[in-house]
Amino acid sequence: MVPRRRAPFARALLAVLFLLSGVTLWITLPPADSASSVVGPEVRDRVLREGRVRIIAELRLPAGSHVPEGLLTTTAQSVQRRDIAGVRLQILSRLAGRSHRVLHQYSTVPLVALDVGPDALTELEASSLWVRRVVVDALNSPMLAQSVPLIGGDQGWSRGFDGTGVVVAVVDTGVEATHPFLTGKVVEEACYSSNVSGHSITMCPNGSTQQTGPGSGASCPLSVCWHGTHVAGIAAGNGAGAGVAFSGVAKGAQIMAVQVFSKFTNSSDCGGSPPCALAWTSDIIAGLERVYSLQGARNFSSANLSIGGGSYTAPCDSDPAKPIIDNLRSVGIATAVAAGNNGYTNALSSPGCISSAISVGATTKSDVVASFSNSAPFLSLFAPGVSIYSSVTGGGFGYASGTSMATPHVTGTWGVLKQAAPSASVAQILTALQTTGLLITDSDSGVTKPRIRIDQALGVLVPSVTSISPAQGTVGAAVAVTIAGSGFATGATVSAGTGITVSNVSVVSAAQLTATLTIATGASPGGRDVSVINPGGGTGTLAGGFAVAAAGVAVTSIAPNQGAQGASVPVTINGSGFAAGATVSLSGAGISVTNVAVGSATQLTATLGIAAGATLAARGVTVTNSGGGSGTLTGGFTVVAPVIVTSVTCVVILLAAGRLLPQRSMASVR
Amino acid sequence: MVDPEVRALVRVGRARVLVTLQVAETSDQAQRADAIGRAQDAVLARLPSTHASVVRRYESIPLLALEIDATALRALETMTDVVAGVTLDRAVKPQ
Repeated sequence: MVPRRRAPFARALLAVLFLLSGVTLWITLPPADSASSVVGPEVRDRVLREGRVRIIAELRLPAGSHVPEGLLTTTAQSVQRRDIAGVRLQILSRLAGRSHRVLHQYSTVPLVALDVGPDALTELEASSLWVRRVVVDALNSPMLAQSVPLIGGDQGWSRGFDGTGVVVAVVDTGVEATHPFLTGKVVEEACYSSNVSGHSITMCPNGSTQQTGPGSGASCPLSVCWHGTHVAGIAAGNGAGAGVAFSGVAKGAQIMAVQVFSKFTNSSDCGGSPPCALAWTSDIIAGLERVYSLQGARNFSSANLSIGGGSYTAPCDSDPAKPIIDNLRSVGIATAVAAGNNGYTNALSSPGCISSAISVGATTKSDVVASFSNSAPFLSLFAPGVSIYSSVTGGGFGYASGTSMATPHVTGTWGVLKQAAPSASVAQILTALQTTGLLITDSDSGVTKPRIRIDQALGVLVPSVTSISPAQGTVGAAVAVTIAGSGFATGATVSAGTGITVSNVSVVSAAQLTATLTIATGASPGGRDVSVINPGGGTGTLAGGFAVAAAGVAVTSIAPNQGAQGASVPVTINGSGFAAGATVSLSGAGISVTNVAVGSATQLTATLGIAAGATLAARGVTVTNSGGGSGTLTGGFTVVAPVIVTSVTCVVILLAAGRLLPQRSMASVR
Repeated sequence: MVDPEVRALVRVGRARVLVTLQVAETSDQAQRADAIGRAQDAVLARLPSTHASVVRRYESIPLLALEIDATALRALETMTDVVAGVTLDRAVKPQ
């Protein structure tokens, strides 16, 4: 199948690269409105209101629409550049004597940035032969401040998930570790770069073709080498250290910087503009293998490859990078790869075309597929990738657009989700992102794919527990409970704290599960935190959600087991489950209980005050614990009549001379 | 399986290639690393040394990055017991 390219600039944004004060910036222009005049109403309003206005004039080229240089031969590029320069000269000559100032001239795109007064604007309006349109030179707000909330990143942070404890690997042009946005974040570094006669020269800091350790992943020295620092900032930059109000997606994550680009000096390799930075596939694989080799020492969530080339209309699983991407995936590390910037509607670049990679296309902040972005039915995800403001080399910030910028949004997202669900596999996280993402349809191809939403994915990966019913059980009991909440995944487990064994867990739905809590006989009474743990390790906890009550009380004996009316009888009661503060009562009226003292869980003492008029009968003896639970010994204590002495018999036995004397009755006992 | 672009390039000089090796699957990482190393050694031992040079060896994946000429490619093509494929080591750009 032949790759199909979307119509250039048909409904799209025009991305323009320019350099200002050494910082690489991109500006985006709204699409041309063929029905309007050259000068837009906003421009006219501004100049009327303020006397002057900063504008960008799009030039009309004799050959028609501007074609991105990457799609042209070297010769055609030269022709287009010459046309651009020629039209610009025409315009500037017509502006001579008018109130204007040239702000920027561009060699590769048909634009000129000007500060103009009313007379110059009128001249531009009259120059429709050379000027396609004039728009306000808009100020762009920091896009990370918009793109991170757009994907729910700030909501993830508010739940405590910002990538802390996780490392993201940025395999790119190196990272400026001293950048305030990235201070203290770069914890591992490596460089793989090649000397190939007639083609490339290594850019590893030590001049070798590979290097590891501090400094090795530093930003390479070519003009395009801002790229890795920009990507790293999107994935894991932290604004707090830089004094800016925005951060990267996984602002708590650490970074491994891997520099894999080589300096290419050959004009044909560089599309006519040497030197340039390109990365050999073999060096990319070496960089990824270095990540893999450190996976035991570092908690990697993801590796970022904002790199690519070629076009593939189907998964390219014979690509030599697949085995290392598979290795990483097998240990839970995702490799997020740019879909490519060719504007293909049915093809991805390599290595993003590998089926086990996470391919990422770019969308605008309005959730439209970016004009430059490749997409295909086998694309994994979309993420914001237009006018992204992030860190660049030299300590500053700049805008950039590309699937390169969309990819680290996914890489950082992986860091956040991996913190939340530490044992989740790549497939589990990808499924969570794909099933919860905002579906976006590429209007040029009809391909519909999800744009990532961190908050929604967290809802799937991390359960929330809202209630447990019943919420208590007694020591020694097995209690069937129903747990309510959200995000319960098939295979979820439950923990309920010390002394409680959980069995028979059954996930009824994402909002309900049932389980049996068996409370050990030795379990101490009190509250327990109840947690539901999803298979990926995402955990939701209801603090103190379940209470263990003391064991049931049993009364086995009482001694003495009877007392007379009117008597005060100290008794010892034996049984089990007696708790401090327990009370004793006897059934029926006429017996008061005082001096209860719990000696142990199996014995207590008390004094029974039996009223003189208490009914003569067997009484039940009940021990009740203060925290609930009681036990009764039915008929355990009997009230008897008191003994009354009516006469005394004195028996005197006299022994004399071997003779038993006769007894004399002294009293009789009634 | 040889990438046609590799074949075209070695006709006029040397090409930087990635050689995929046949290594038995095993879940034991140490055994697999040993097997990969042995496969790499086997290929390198059978390559005419003046016609090929090693660019990179890998420890965890059955792959070798080489710079080869036509003679070395012919040698690789005879190693059907250990070589699964030869692809071009492409240079890619930032996106």
